[in-house]
Amino acid sequence: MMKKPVLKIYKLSKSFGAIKANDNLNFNLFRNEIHALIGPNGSGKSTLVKQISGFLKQDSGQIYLEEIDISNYSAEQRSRMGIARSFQISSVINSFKVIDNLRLSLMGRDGGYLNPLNNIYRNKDYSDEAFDLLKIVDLTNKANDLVSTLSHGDKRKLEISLALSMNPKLLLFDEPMAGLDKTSSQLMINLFKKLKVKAPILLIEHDMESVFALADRISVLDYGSLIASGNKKEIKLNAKVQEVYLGDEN
Amino acid sequence: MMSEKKLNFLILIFLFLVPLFSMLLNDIYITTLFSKIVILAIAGIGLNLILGYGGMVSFGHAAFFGLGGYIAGILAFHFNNYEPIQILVFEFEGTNQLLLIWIFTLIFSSILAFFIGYFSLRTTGVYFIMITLAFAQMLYYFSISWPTYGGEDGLSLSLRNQIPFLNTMDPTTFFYICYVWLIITIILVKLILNSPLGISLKASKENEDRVRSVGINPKKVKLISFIISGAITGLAGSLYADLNRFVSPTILSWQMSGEIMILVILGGMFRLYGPILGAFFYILLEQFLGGITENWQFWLGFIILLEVLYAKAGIMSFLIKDKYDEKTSS
Repeated sequence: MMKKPVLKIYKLSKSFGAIKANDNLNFNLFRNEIHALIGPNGSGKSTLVKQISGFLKQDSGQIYLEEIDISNYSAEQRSRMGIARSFQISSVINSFKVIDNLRLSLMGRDGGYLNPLNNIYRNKDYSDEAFDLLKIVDLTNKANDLVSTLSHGDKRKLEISLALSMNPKLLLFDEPMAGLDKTSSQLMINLFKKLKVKAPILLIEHDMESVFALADRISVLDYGSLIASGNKKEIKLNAKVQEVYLGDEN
Repeated sequence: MMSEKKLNFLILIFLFLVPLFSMLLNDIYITTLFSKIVILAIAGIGLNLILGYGGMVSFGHAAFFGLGGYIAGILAFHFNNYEPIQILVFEFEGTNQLLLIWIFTLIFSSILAFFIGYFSLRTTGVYFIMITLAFAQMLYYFSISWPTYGGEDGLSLSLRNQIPFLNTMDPTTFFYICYVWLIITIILVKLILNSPLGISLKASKENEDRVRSVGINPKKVKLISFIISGAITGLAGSLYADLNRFVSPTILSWQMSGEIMILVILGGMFRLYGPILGAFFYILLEQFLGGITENWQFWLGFIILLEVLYAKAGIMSFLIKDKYDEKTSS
């Protein structure tokens, strides 16, 4: 029996004027896998993530989440359905405390965010769940710190915990290792290995060491087109990938 | 310097004792003046919900303030004339009962706020300012050209509207009616700020992408907040009409929107009690500087200029020791 993909991208295209950011892309993401998407700058990786998460409308093509066509769903609807993402540049609520960022996302997940009366700070279930999520990324000791005072690495960790708070069916991580030191990167690598069992991960990353340490499959984009897809070995040996992206790295 | 909680408590105690000071100084005008301060503070708290906490610079809140005023005026006008209000084929009796007038005000201000908010929130920044201003100016010109209710000359109320068992013509009684509404407004907005809606509003102000990525629709959050804000300001307008026993197109003008915005900025945009202090100092400046020079607004402008340059968090920031950053989170 054929495995059913959690995420299916079918003939997805997106152009900005004359520039084709994504050109007729076909792509699947299966359970228990980390699928890395690599390619030179401007190859359309982030555009793809934006389209999957609903922040950018595709020109044509379809996106399916567990066989449901979500191509016309809003970003908010997709988030509540379980498409969780991190941003290329850390995107958190800087003026909130760490724990309040999580309260916000737990509330968004449950959909009661228009309630004008219940005191969110007294919701013990949310507080407990928020602490559990912070434990996963090793941030419990900073729960009551203002996010604006966190280091870059801690903000990255917070973003991961925010993604996890959405009960994700799919995790989209856009350059999560960018700007991290060796120790933090290793922590992320270990964390992602555990997380893929909960939800498959689409990983966009420039750090090839991390990509090869993590990815079960790798797809390579160039000028918006998929030029190769396969396991680590196949990608490393692919001449075209060597030419356009990996070059001397391997 | 003191804690914000202590200052807030002192503000409420001071306001509560105003009629007593007025009696001791044998000057009932003080109570009437403070009724105006309290009413403007209510309008300011309403605006501050979306301006300070939601980042929506509405330059058209006079629309709600004026609507509230005209609802009080029109209902009383028809009650006194024994003429029913005719809307298409329907006829309604007028009333001088404040409880009913407040209910009507809250309903119609909310409807107007939904309408204005629905269209205005499709825009941001300077366009949002202009579209809210445009809506308010439409109502302003409409009121001028509506002779039934006095047109440019406005509409006088022979008596204040009434509440059973209370003499609303007594300045002290009317002051305490306004004071109770101020307390209700503070409690309501405090509840909202700690609620899912409030936290979503504050987050939407800072980072809409993050908010959307956790399943929250920032437009809905802003629209609901805009409606609540409009309803509160409308209620303040209704009280204002009763305080003056007069309503005219002036309270629908852009100057009125500016006045409410100035007192919010003056007191402190990011503090619940900021608009109360703002209204107090605004009226104080109007009274004292107005007595010295006709051009008192020049000096008001000068003070606001200094504040914007050196104390963005308003007068509150001079009196309390808490930092602004700590406030935004809870």
